[in-house]
Parts: sequence; C-alpha cells; structure tokens
Amino acid sequence: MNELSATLLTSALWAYVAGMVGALLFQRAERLANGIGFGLAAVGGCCGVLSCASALATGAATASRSFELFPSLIPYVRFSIHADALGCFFGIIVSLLGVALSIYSLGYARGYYGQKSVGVLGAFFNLLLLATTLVFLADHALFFLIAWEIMALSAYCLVSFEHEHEETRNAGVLYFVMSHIGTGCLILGFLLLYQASGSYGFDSFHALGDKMPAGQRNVVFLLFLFGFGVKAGMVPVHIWLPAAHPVAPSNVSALMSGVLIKTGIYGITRVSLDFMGTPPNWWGVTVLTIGTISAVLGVLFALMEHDLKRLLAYHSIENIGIILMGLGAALMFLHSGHSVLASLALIAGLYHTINHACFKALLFLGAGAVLHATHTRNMEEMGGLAKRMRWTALFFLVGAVAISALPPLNGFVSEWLTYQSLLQGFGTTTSLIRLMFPLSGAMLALTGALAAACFVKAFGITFLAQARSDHARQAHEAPFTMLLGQGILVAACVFLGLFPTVFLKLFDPLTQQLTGQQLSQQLTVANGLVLSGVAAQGGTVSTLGITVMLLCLLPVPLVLWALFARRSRTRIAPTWDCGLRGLTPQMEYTATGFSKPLRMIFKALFRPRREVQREYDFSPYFTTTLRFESHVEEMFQTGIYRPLRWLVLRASRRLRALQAGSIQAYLIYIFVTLLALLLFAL
Amino acid sequence: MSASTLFALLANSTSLPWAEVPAWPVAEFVRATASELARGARLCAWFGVPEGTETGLVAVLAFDADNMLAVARSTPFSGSYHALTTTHPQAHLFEREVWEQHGLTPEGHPWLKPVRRTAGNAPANGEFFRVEGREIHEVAVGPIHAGVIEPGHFRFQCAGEEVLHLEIALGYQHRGVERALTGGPHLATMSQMETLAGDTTIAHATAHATIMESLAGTEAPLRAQWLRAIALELERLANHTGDMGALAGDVAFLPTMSACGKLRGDFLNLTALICGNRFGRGLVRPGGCRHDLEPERAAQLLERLKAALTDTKQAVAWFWDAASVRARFENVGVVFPAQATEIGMVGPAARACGLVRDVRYDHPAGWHRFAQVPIAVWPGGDVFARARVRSLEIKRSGEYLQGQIAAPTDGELRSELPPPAADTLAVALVEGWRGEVCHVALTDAAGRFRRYKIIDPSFHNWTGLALALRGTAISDFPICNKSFNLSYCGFDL
Amino acid sequence: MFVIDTIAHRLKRGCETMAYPKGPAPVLPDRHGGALKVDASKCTDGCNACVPGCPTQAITRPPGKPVALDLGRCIFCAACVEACPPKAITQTGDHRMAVRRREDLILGEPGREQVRLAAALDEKLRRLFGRSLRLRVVSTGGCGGCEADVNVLGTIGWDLGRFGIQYVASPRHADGLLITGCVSRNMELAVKKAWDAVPEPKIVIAVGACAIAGGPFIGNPEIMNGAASIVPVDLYIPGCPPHPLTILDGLLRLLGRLEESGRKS
Repeated sequence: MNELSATLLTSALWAYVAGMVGALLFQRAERLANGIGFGLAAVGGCCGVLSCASALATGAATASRSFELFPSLIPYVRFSIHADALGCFFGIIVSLLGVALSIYSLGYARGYYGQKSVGVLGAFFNLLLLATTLVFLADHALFFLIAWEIMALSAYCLVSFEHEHEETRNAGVLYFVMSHIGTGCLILGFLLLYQASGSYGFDSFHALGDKMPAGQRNVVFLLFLFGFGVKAGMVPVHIWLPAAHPVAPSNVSALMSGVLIKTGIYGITRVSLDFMGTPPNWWGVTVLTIGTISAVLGVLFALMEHDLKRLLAYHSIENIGIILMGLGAALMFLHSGHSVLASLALIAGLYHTINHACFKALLFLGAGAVLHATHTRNMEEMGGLAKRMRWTALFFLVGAVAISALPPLNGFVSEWLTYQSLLQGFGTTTSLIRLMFPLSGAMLALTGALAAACFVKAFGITFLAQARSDHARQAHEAPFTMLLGQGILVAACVFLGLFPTVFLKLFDPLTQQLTGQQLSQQLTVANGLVLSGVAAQGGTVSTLGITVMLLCLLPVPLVLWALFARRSRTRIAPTWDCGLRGLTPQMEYTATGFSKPLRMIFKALFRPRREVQREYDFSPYFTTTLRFESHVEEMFQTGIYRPLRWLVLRASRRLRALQAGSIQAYLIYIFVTLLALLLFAL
Repeated sequence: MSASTLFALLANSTSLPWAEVPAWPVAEFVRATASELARGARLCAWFGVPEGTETGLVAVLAFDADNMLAVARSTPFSGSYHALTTTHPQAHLFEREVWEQHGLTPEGHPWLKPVRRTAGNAPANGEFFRVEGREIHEVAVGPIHAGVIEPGHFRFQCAGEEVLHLEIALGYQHRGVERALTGGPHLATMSQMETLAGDTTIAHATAHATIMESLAGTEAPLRAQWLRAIALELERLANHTGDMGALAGDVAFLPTMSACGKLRGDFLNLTALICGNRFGRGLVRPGGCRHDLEPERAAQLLERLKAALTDTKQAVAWFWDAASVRARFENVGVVFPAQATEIGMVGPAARACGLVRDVRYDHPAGWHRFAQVPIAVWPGGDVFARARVRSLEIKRSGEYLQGQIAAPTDGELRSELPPPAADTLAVALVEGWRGEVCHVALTDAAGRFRRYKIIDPSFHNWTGLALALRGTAISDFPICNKSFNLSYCGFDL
Repeated sequence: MFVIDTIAHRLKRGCETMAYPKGPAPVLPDRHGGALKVDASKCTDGCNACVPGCPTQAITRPPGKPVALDLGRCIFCAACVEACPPKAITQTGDHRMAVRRREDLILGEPGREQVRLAAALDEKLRRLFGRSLRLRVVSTGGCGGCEADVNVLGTIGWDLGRFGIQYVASPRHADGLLITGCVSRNMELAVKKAWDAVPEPKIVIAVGACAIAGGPFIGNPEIMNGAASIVPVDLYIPGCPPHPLTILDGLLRLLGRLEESGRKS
C-alpha cells in the first residue's frame, strides 16, 4: 500500500468522522444536515474505494501497511490498523456501498423531514460506516472488539430509528441481544487466543499457526464460528435478521444486508484461514454443512413471505449460506493440501460476498423506493408499479436477475465459480466425505431454482399487472438521487458480471496471503475474455461473450420486422378475457397463491396452518361470509428459541433465590468468592 | 307416506283438471310443501302462474317410493312470502326463478339473485360472492370457454390452487322459450321443444308429446311408445359414450378418447338410421312417431348396435384398467349423499352418490311400464363414481336395446289427437340421459297453453357442481365439469 | 394390460379415418334428405300448401311471384315436402349446402332451384388459410347440437386436423370465428369482443339455422337472430344441425380444397 492509498484511507475515516459531527451539529437545519452527513459519507466512501482498490491492484508483492491511528492512553489497547489484502477487499465492499447508499440517502432522508431527525440518522450512518471500516482494518484484538461494539450499537440505533412502532422496538431489542451473545463468544475466543499467543495483535495470532493444542484450537474455532455466525445470520442463529432488516429505514437495511453481515464472513475467514494455521477437516465440513442448510432454509422461508423486505432478508440468509459453502470448501481443500482448489473456493466465496453486497443493496434500495411510494411493505397490496415507477422497476429487475444467478450478471459468475470448486472437489479425497461436495452442489442448484421462483413472485406481484390498492395506484417515481444510488449499484453488478477476469486480478494478493496461490492467470483464458474453471474438465464461460452475442442478436428481429412486417398494422387491445366486461385486480394471482405448491411440497418443514371461517344462516350451501387466512410456522422460534427462553427464564427464577436482599447473604457471597479465587490462584 | 289431502295425487304422464288442484293461501301452501319435503318427497317443479296482476304458485312433488306425483297450488297473491329454501335448499333455484319471472319475493331466501340474469346485459356483470382475505384471488372463466362448449360463467374464489367457493352464472343462452310458449302450441313449438337442449332432443320431445297426449286424454299407440323408448336409450348411449371419451381426453388417456369420439358418432348414426337426423329431430310428434322402424331397418340397427357396443366395451375397459386414470378420478369433486339429497340432485350424478332415483323406475310411463332398465347406482359421489355410473348405464342400455329391438310390438305408429282439454294441468317426467326432464302444462279456457314450465335436469344439478368444487384443486375443474356434463342451454331455456 | 391391448387393437383396426375427400363421401342416412330443391315451375297457381306448415316461416309465396324457400331459415323438418301436392319441393339427398352469400340460400326463382355452392376464398386468403386455418368456435345461444357436430369433426373418423383446420382456445390465435347458435342478447358483448380480438385478416363461418337466421327461435326478442346481426359472415352452412359431412364440405369448399368446382345453377 503506497502513500497515496494510505492517505486516502485516513481521509476516508476522517470524512466519516466529519460527517458524523457535522450532521449532529446541524440537526436543526434538516437539509444541511442531510447534505453534510450523507455527502461526507459519500466522499469517504469514494476515498475508501479508491484506496483499497488501488492497494489490491498494485499486486501481492507490495507489503501491506500497518500503522497506528493515534496513540492510545488506555493500557492493553492499541488503535492500530493493518490494511492487508483481506481487509482491503472488505474495505472495497463497505466503501462502495457507502458511496451508493449515501447518495441514495440524500433523496430518501427527505421522507423524514419534519418527522424525525435526519441529522441523527446521518450521524449514526457515518458512525456505522466508520466502525465497519475499522472492523475490517483493525489489527489489534481489543481495538477490533471496540470497533465491533460501536458497529453493533450504531446499527441498533439505526434499526430502532422508527421506534414509535412496537414491531421496530422488539426487532431492535432482539438484534441487540443476539448481537451481544455473539460478541460474548468473540470476547472469549480472543481471550483464549491471547492466552495462547501472549499478545493481542493479529500478527501474533497469525504466528501461532499449528502451535495451539488441538482441543483449545477447536474450542476457539467454535466460539468464533458461533460469534461471527450470529452476525452473519447463519442458521440457526439467524432469527434477528428477518426481524431487524425490514423495520429499519431502507438505506440502513441495505447497509446491514450488504455490509454488516459480511463482517461475520470476514471474521470467519480471518480466524479460520489466517490465524491458527492449517485447519482440520471437520472445520470445513461444519462450515459447508451450515452453509448448505442456511442456503436451502433461507430461500424456502423467503418463498413464503409476502412482506417484500422480509423476503429480501431471508434471501440474505440464503446468500450467506452460499458464501459459507465456498468458505467451507476452501477449508476442506486447505486441509487436504489442494491449495489451488482452495483458492478457487475462496475466490468463489468472496466474489459472492461482493456480489451479494451489490445486488442485495440494490434490491433493498428498490424496495425502499417502493415503500416510499406505496407506504406498504405487503406485496399483496402492490401491483402495476412498473408503469408508474419505470426506473425503479428496471433496477429491481436487474437486481432480481443478478440474485437469481442468471447470466450474464454477477450472481451467475460467483455461483459458477462455487459450482466449479464443489464439483472439482469430488476428486480430491477418496473418503466418504467427498460425497458432501456433489450433495452441496445439488442443494445449491435447488436454492438457485427456488430463488429464481421467489424473485419471479417478488417482481411479478409487486410490479406487474394491475394495482391492487389505492396506494399502488397513486405511486410515483423515486427522486433522482435515489435512482442514482441504485444506478451505481446496477453499474457495479454489470461490471462484476461482464468483466470477472478484470476483477479477479484483485484477488491475487488475497489468495496469496491466505492460501499461497495466485489464480487470476489460471482463471483467465483468451486475453481475459473467458473465465475458466482451473481444471481441464472444469469448463469455461464468458459472460462478456454472452452479452456481446445477445447484443448482436438483438437487431435480428428488428431487421426481420423491417423487412417483412412493416406494412402490417399494430393494434393495442385488451387481454382476451373470455368475453367478459373486463378484468379486475381481484383476478390477479396473489403472492400466497404463487408459492402454494411449494408450501405443499415442503409441508413438513413449514407446517402450514389455514383458517377458514364460514358463516351461514340456514345451510352451508348458501354461505354468507367466508374468511380465509393461512400461516406458516416459524420453526426456529417454536423449536429452539422459545424453549430456550423458557429454560433461561426458569433458571433465572431459580437463581433469584440467591438475591435474598439481605446484606449478610451478599457479604457471604463476596467472602466465598474471594476464598475461591485465592485458592484457585494458588 | 299417508295420502295427504293437501296435495292432489296423480301419476306420471297424466293430467288433472285445474279445478281439482287444491289451492291454499300461500303461507299454508309453503308449510304443506315443506312438510311433504321433510317426509321424503322431492320437488319436481315450483313455478308461478300469472292471474291478472297477481301470481299463484304451483308445486309438483314426486313421491318416489310410492311412484306418485302430487300437485297443489297457492291462491294468487303479490308481494312476498316466506321462502321454502330456508328449510329446504332444493327449492332455492325455483324460488329465485319465480322472483325473476313474476316478481314474488321469497322472504329469508339466503341467495336471492337472478337465475338467468337477463337484466343488465350479461350474467357475469352481477355481484359475485367474495371470500375475505388478502390471499384470495378470483378466477373468472367464460362466457367463452377454451373448448367447443356452450357459454356460461364460473367465478372461482381460490387460495392458490384450492377452490374455496364456486359461483356459476348462467343465462347466456336464454332464448325466451317459455315465454314464447304461452298461447301455444304454435307452429314452431315442436321444433323448439326438440332444440331446448340439443343433445336431449328425444327426452324433451317425448315429454312434450306426452303432455299433448295427456291433455287430449289419450296416450300414444304402443308401437310409438316402443320406438320412443328405443330412441331414448340410443340417445343415452351416444351421450354417455361421448362423455367417457371426453373424460378420458381430460386426463390425457388417448386410446379411450379417440375410440369413444368415433363411437359417439356411430351411436348418433343409429338414431339417424331411424329418423334421418343424428339427434332424433323429427322423430317424436304428439300422437306418435313420424318414422317407423321396419324389420329390415331394425335388423340393420341391431347389427350396427352390437358392433358399436363391443367396441365401446373394449374402449371403456382400457379406461378402467389404467391406474393413472383412476388416480385422477378418485376422491375428486365429491358430493356427499346428504348434500345430493338436500339439493335435490337427479340423474346419473345423483345415482353416483348412492341415491336410488330414476324416473324410469320410480315413475314409469310409456314403454317403461312394460320393460325396465336396471338402475345403475354407485356410492362415493366423486368423479370416479359418476364415470362408473355412466359406463354401467352404457352396458345396461345396450342390453335393453338389444332385447327390445328384437321384440317389436305391432300397431299403428301415429294417431290423430283430439284437441287438448281446457283448464287442465298435465305433468310429464322422462328420464333423459342427464336425469329427470319435467314438463308441466296448464291450458286456458281455449285449450291453449296458459303456462308451460320446462325443467331440465341441469336445473337441479348445477348446484351440485358448485358444491363439488369446494375444496378441490382448480386444475380438477375440467374433469368435474365433464363428469357432470350439465346442459347450459337446458338451464337457460 | 391396456398398453399392449391398445397397440394390438390399433394395428388390427388400421386407419379409421375416412378417405373423403380423396375417396367418395360417406353416405348420408337415407332418411336425412339432404339439401332441398325447389322447382317453382311445378307449383300450381294459388296453391300455398307448403307455407302455413313451416315452423320458421321459411317459405313465402307473395301473390303473383313464385314460391321462395329460404334454406337459411329452414330447419329441415320436411313438413313442406310432405305437404306439397305437385312435389315442387323435393329432397335431393345431397350433402352439399354451404354458400358464401346469404341470398344464395333463397331457392325458388327459375335458375335457383338448388343452392349456389360456395366459391373458395380469394387468392390472398387462400394463400394464408388454405393449409392452416385456426377457428375459434363461439357458441352463442343455440341448443348444443351444432357444437356437438362441430366437435365430432375433430375425432379420428373425420380428422379435421389433416386439412390444417384446428379449433383454438383464444381468438388471438385464430384466423376466424365459427359461430353456432342464434346470438342471444346476453352473448352480444362476448361475440363482439371475440370478433375484435381476432387479428386481421379474419373470416366468420355461421353454422346451423340458428347462426344464419335464428333457427327455431326466430323472432324471439331475447335473441338477435343470427350471427349476421353483429359480424360479417363469409360462409353459411345450413342445417339443424348440419350433418358433419355438410360442415366439412363447406369448410373445404371455402378453402378451395375440393377438386370439383362449385356447382353453378
């Protein structure tokens, strides 16, 4: 990292600080607070992207930079950051999203004028961006934890921004509790690492290598997996995600889904690949399994949703699952010594990380625009928006195509790489474990198909056909800044999809650092136009080629039309409706109806419940009223968390007996504890 | 049943002077009808007879177990009356029709909507029942359907694939037949009777001819009755065979579909052998039949009939052999026996619920007093049962025909009818292939029709289809519809 | 086992489709009668024996003019044939009855004893539809008989598909409408919408007495007396219902697929 990059990085951080302070100072002047807060955030994001991207682009040979931000007066804590390849990569993600989302927020925050404090929103937004960037760059365990906490707390404040609704308050509290459970595990993990290595610096953790005793290593891994997994939203600790993401303001949802959950991925990658040397096989198997389960369950629950933002939140869980599949495969390959395949899997996982950040944020921004226009999150009340909100519909469509992993966009590229690594993994070992690879591949295929079905539903019910409610009928297009923010992400999706070979060069320092291989040469064929899957039988694909071919074929029907059909008249007429007077919005398919067949297939998982109330006067043949409602059971809530909560509450009721209220009892407790500690120390 | 003095009893295909029909004030009339229905009678007809500015109601009941019909009327009134439907759902369509045609309001009727919706220019323009809930969508089908079929409108309330409620709006083929009949019979009346429901020509024509004969105080010559019975069974064969083919087509079982499609044409050609028209038009006339079945023609008919029956038996055997077909039919579109009884279903659809009701058996008239066809009954009430009943009826009608054609009776074919009696009520019931066809005629002082009421079996059975679809997947609607195969034009008149 | 059974049966029975039009037409039932022939020269003066018996008032004899029989209103009950003393109205047993113009169905004038059969469509339409004609059958308020006979043309005996003629579900896919039934008032809007939905160029075929003039229900205020009241008709096929052979003959004649040219009288 050269001087310029370092300067840009520090200026990005200072821009965030300035944005935060400025937004708070000018709270009263809403437009000024909006402009300063988000404008400076955008500036910071630009600097961050430039800095990190240039750092990665200059190649693996350049040593990474480590420096102290400012001297600390607190013992044991050093505010030092180390911008190595992994950190820079995630820095690109957070900064890119920072740019796009800040621009979007300039328009979005206008919806809060007069109702809530835009300055507070801007300040916490900047704080969140700052803390997240620091999380990715921190070099010192305690500094890492401080940045982590600030990130969690500012995210909590942002989630609870609209705290006048009870649902928001509950979601915020749930997020807060889950986040701290995770943080608790992280603290324990770091303490164990400190005990083994003697210092809090990440470089000393890295130097530990294989020297830790196996039992302690495994415990550390599990603690970190759990702690970072909570933040990432892996199953079964994902329940905060579908609660918190929908209730937050849409730019915050986008940031959370795009970046915050990636901190979990960063953490898992850092711990399992950077610290503690070569991983044992079962680490990879566990991560792969958790990833597969998260992917399948995430998309299945997404299919049942008709709240647009909850649907997107469940898709985040699914995509985290896909990323974890790539990471798990990488761990397994590292164990068996196939470093090339490990790099491929790692690249697949991390490419999907940035892809997901881009298209998920894009989708959330689109959902935000829709929410802004129709004042409802319920898809069953939307419809017909494509005519009224053309650009938003187009951008949402791009995001939907990307998340369904359709060529030539970016989702396709990263899932293709994931398939490559999984399928090639079959030949790496001869033990039965190798069956996991094709099985995961099959599950990945299933999730891909279900995701496509889900987005057909989401796009179709929301944007197509006729409007189902008055709000939808009166919807209007989003303001320019909101469209610009979405447009930036669309450009990112297109770039990442069409030019993967260019982007892959940025992975070289990363894989060099973590697995010791640089793959971009091997993955690029034909002067960078074609992406290849390493092995000879891996196959190749060229998204650029596909796009060029589509663009070349596009004029063909136009030419044919001009040659043969120009003289025929075009008539615009209503859809054939069997000779009725006209079609009404009640005759449109509903979201629930669309997903009903899948709900029936996976009945054992969803345990759907339906309630039909029939009222009649004389005989059921002539019903006066009929009401229908259906619910899907939330299996994790009822299966795991409610019993857990009940156990905890019961245990705490028992423990309350200890708090007798008498001073004598407390003095005895202190005395006994002191004795025990003294004995233990001896 | 103990003979009720509130109703006048008469047999099928007979007439009764209007003065002998007991008249009661409408409240007592409704109560009397309700108590008879509660004791097991079946409502065959319920209609209004205009008298000046007021209207009198007439009820014709069937006591199936006693092989008798009963008729009574109310004194003319206007305004409203307490609905019979509140206690007996089988009257619901009749009371709606009376409301639409004469303006008498049944108080307490749970579903008071026009029957043929001739007002407002299209039946689908009315208000339809909606299920509450955001997840429900409506599917509106018709009037123009995908296949070659008559027009009608179906409004489904669906939760995904499952139908929660079906409402059927008919009336697109309303041609005003009943209204045109007053002052008749006119020149066109016989042709209109034959084309009420084109595939039920023989049954409706027989019913009308029987009405004219009983109004004239006589019956048709025996040979004509014999020929009418043969034509009726041939009509039944043709339609059941066609329906088996259509059902097979709907579940993509092509061997039976192709075979039965052709065989239906063969059976229709047998009817054409007798009278020249594939649907039997021009055969039945008041007083007898217009064309004869001479011995050579009868031999030819028998030979072709045997060949067609063998082929049909084989085609239907493949059908029942295929497990994929049975799997599609079983437990689909179920109508429970209690439902069938309560809404007064008739015909093969009712027999497929296990109900033993068939006009040829319960109210034999014409040739059926001398030779019976065994009734085909099957329990279950699902599509499978309805298809099963039809294939049984094909077999039994085939056997009956072979027996009857080989044993003709002598006599003239057509007799000259004396003019119809004045102020007389006549009732004729015929078991058409869909079920009970009921014609009721009332003459005025000049012996012309004062009121002529036609009830096609579809009038009773459309409600059954609406009930059968509740809880069924909408993709099973075509086979349910075809298993009933009700007449749109017979309902619409 | 039905699979083996059906295959064996199919092999044994061979092709069940009739040879017509490459072979002779199947014979009409002997009592069918076929088209009517009106030889007005045989009419005695002042004789109106056939007029009052016609259920649909298809026969008129204005004073001083020859008798006129409108085959479009005729429901082929043969009451006039029975009633005519000099046998001026006779049954020909000919199944061919389809015409292009409504006035070609009015028989009786000298030179017009029988129907002037339909000429084929013009060159352009024949190029478009000659080998592929998609029809949307619209049932507009009849009795179901014409629908049944239209449907039977699709079965294996007649096999309409071998001429490229097919019934389609959506008028958007259709080249024309095939209307049966007398167009009740309730169906007026639906027929209009179906007609509008068919892309140009389009044709209309009216099958059956109801579709031509209202059939047995002619004059009832609840109906509109035939398809011509709403849409322009290109082919009229009389009958009640027309025998499938008559319908097929009419369709093939329209497309110019029959070898012999239309008979000119």
